[in-house]
Amino acid sequence: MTFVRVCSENEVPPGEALRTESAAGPVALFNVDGEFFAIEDTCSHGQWSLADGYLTGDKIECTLHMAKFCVRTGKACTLPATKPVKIFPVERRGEDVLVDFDGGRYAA
Amino acid sequence: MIEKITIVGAGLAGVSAARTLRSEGYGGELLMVGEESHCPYDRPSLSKSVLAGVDDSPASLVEPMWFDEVKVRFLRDRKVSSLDLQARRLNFVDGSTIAADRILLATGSRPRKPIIPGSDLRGLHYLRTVDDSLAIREKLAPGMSVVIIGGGLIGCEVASTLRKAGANLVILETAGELLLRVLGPALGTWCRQQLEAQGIQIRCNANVVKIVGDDHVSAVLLEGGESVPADFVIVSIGAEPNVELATAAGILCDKGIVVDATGQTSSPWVYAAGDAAAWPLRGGGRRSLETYLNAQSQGEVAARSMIGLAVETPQIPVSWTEMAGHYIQMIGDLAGEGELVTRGDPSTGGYLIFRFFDGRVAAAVAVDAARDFATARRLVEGEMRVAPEKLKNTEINLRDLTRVTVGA
Repeated sequence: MTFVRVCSENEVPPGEALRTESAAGPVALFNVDGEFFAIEDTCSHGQWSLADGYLTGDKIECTLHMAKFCVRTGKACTLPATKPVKIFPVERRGEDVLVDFDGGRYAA
Repeated sequence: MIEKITIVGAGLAGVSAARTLRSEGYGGELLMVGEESHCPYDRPSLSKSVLAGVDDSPASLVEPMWFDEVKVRFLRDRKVSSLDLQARRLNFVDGSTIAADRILLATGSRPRKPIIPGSDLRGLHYLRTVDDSLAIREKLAPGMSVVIIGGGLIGCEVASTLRKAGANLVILETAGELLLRVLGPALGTWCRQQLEAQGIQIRCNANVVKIVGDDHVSAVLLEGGESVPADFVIVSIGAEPNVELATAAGILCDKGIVVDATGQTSSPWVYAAGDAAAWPLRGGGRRSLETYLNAQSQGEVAARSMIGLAVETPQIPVSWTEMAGHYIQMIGDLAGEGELVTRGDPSTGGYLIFRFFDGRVAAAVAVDAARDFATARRLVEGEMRVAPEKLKNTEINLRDLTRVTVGA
């Protein structure tokens, strides 16, 4: 378990996202009203970046075909997506936001 | 008490309805009937990655264990022959019957067929199902001449895909421009130019009078006498909603099964959603929308209505297409009152065109600008007030604009 600094919290305002590359592939970090969540960045349906999507509450809508995922659980909420995306552990240290890129998993 | 619901149709509208019924807590019997032998699948790729051979098969609309997990009984390869509104039963072609408290007709649409001589020749293809797509893919070889009758979304998408696969393409369109009905003249012209740059021949104002061939098609004859050679032909001249079950049962139909904005038909225990339904539009009127996102929305709305959670949801047409390497999304009807505002530069990259009317965005089309389209869609759906100058200004993040508008 290795947490790696991704950004400072003020770099990703509420409702926004940051895409970051990792050994586990691209990961999207979301700010949901001050809480940070990290998920696999690539939509499980159409191979598109979710960080570019539209965040409403804790649901991210892919801009390609409008599939929605929960950024807390990685679960697919609407078609056309049926498969979940992985979630990654997030930690805050002071103003820094860190992600454990080795800890990607599908929520139970 | 609703205890037995049957969904006729296993496409997007039907599956969306089934998912919604379960997620909203409906615990009664749920039966889904599909005429195809396949598990429910996603159709947009049929004209793109599946047709191109990039994907072997379309994405599934359900996970393999889903039917068991949520207790949906799925009958595939089965056809309902009639509805008995008095007895509240569905009769199947094989003679069996099933009782239902509520029925959702999500029977979809089928390709319109041309009524000209030669329409029954071999080598005439349509695109609706995965089998249709695979049949075309199997037949295709580089250098073949393929004639596409109808320059709408499917015709243009198919042409673009087959051209990439090395075929010689001719699109024949009766109107003066491609894609007029869905995108309007300006974008229709832009799309034509992209397709022409791909090496596709496009003939507008072309009326097909005959499909020529002995047994298999060999050419398409145009009004005026010109003959366009074809190894095979794809007909994409629109879709017709499958209303036969409803009509025979005495349910009101008018170019689709007529429903209110909750999905209810003229019979209080029958609902309809997706391409089969003529659903009320927010902008007035009602029609079958033939789009992915509207079918999905209608399936969800009708599902809730069937279990007493009706919310009137008039539709705004919203869809997307991919052709000639470009990704186009649209919401609302660009044709109409008001002024057109462009954001971005069409000659250098992604751009959007908005139709402004009465201080609001009534419609929007995005070309290679998916991120901004997500916002544009919310502007249209939320009937938000915005200044056109702000939309034009690419220095302004469109998303900030919606947030300010929401908060204002």
